[in-house]
Amino acid sequence: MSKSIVITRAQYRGARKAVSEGILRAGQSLSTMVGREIGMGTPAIKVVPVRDVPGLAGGPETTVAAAYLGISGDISAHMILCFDLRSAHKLVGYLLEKAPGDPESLEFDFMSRSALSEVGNVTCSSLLNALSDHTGLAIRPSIPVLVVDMAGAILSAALAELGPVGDEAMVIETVFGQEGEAVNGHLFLLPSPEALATIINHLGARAKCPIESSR
Amino acid sequence: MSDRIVSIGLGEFSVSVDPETTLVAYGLGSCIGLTLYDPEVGAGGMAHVVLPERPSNSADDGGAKYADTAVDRLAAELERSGGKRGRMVVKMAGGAQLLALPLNGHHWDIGERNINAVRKSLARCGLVLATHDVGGAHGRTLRLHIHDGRVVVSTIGRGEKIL
Repeated sequence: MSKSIVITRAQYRGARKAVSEGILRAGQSLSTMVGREIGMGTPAIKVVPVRDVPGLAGGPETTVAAAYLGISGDISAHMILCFDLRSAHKLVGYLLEKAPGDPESLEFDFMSRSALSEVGNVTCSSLLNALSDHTGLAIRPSIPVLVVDMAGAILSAALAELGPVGDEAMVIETVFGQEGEAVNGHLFLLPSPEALATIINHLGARAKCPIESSR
Repeated sequence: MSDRIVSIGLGEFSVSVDPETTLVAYGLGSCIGLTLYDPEVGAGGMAHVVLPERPSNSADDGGAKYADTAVDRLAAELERSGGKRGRMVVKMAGGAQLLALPLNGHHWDIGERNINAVRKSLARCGLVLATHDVGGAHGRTLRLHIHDGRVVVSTIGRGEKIL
């Protein structure tokens, strides 16, 4: 069997701090971009069995519009920001200042696709910048690619791209918008097993420094 | 009929002889859903293959994660339920490329490599592929109905078809 992922308390605190800050920044950037407040849920850092990952965005067959970014530099990872169809059409409406499209429609025109890609870009960059600030690691996102398909197909393809798959994956997950609100999304950071070890080691070092533990 | 759903997750495989069971692999992207069915005994199995080959340094047994070991495992399991390789109807779906993005300068088309690896494994195991729905850039859900061996592929926006 593969090794389980083990994190010390200090490393977990470090990870939470970096991720919470990143999500906060992402929410601010996104709110500024769409011109209205987009609530962000408290991010969860989860170590989950790989088989459960495809179901984490509302079920493996849920149709989502997902902005996908590959991450290179000191770590290799994937980031996926996905919205259910209704939310995606609403977001496009806000961004392009037009009435939202048919919430069931799978069609997104060129402008809508670029708008959603840009949402992915801004949101993911905010989180990555925070992660970079807290770890000192060089983290470079690719340009975003927009995919409209089954959530499970997108998430499992991203996992497979990371190479040899262990039994567990670390997922940083946050939900956009509160219940009943306009926009429901999920943000995933899927690091490769080596990237995960790199992030954890660097966070551990930073988390022990006095400035950070004084908060 | 067919109302007991057994979900086959990433890297898993399962065999059933229960006519009320449907084996399902939800949301196949670059992964392959492989089905084997022996109509004589009404037994069928499904594997959810994730990657082409098991790394030589891998400590885990892999289940059905890797194409190079999954096919033989699934066939052997079906034989334990009375199946015979010569009678097995073999179908596969998946192997799409959803995320076309270069990472670290090079890109692996995992979907394509999975398709080829499964084909190779099938040949090695003496199994003949009857029909398939592979490649492209879209996700698929694959169902195998044990009571009649029907294999159905569903997609988002591209409808459903019987393989």
